[in-house]
Amino acid sequence: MKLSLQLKGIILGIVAGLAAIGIAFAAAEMFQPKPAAASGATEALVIPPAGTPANQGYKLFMLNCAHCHGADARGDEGPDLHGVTKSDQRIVTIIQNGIKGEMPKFSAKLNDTETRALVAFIRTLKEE
Amino acid sequence: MHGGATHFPIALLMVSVIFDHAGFWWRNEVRRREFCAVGFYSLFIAAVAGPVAVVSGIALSKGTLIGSGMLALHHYFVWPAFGLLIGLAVWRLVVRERASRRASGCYLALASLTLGVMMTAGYWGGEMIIGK
Repeated sequence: MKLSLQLKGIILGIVAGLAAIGIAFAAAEMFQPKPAAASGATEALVIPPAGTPANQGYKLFMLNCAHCHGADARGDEGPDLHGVTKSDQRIVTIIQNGIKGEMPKFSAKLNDTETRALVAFIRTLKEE
Repeated sequence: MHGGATHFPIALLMVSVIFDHAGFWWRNEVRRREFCAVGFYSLFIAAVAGPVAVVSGIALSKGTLIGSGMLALHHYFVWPAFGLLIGLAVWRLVVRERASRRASGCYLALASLTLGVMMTAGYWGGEMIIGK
């Protein structure tokens, strides 16, 4: 059976596309931190009760902050947020204005209520 | 590095789709071939630049394939866009200018979809680091 040139192209294209994704996924393993070097924190976050500001803060955290601070808030690119000793106002200022060269500002993205909800959530993260 | 590398495939794919559309609809045969050639080479370089952007992104996220929040939204669009980009480039390499009119139309539709998916991935990537 002789395949047409276009069909050959389609088959090779599909194979190459899937192979590219597969290679990228395999390459990702090389960049993943080794278990021994990880923070050791494997516990999931305790989700605050629904309807509370902390719960709203949790949702905002997962959407806006988790990719830097880690889905467990134990730190990744950004620091661990458990047992933060800074004042509420200081945390609000950091969220709104960011830290130059380290953290983006969220003043145009999160309003005051949302920022306070995030602070309420951060306060639920106790150091073990 | 990811912030710099990632813009090459996005911009080149955009150029490729624009010129391929021009090549598809233009009436003058010579112009049509020239536009398609620009589309082809732009796509080819985009496909070469794509893995650099992907690997730098993987390194930046420490090997996270999906993640959570905006990173997950970014990844939901990045992986299909990357696969489609490589797949389209390979199809184009194999077929070159011997594609039928119908196949070229299907290719254009898929390339436009890939561009949309890639730009959506770029939007979520930007949202992550810049905010609004």
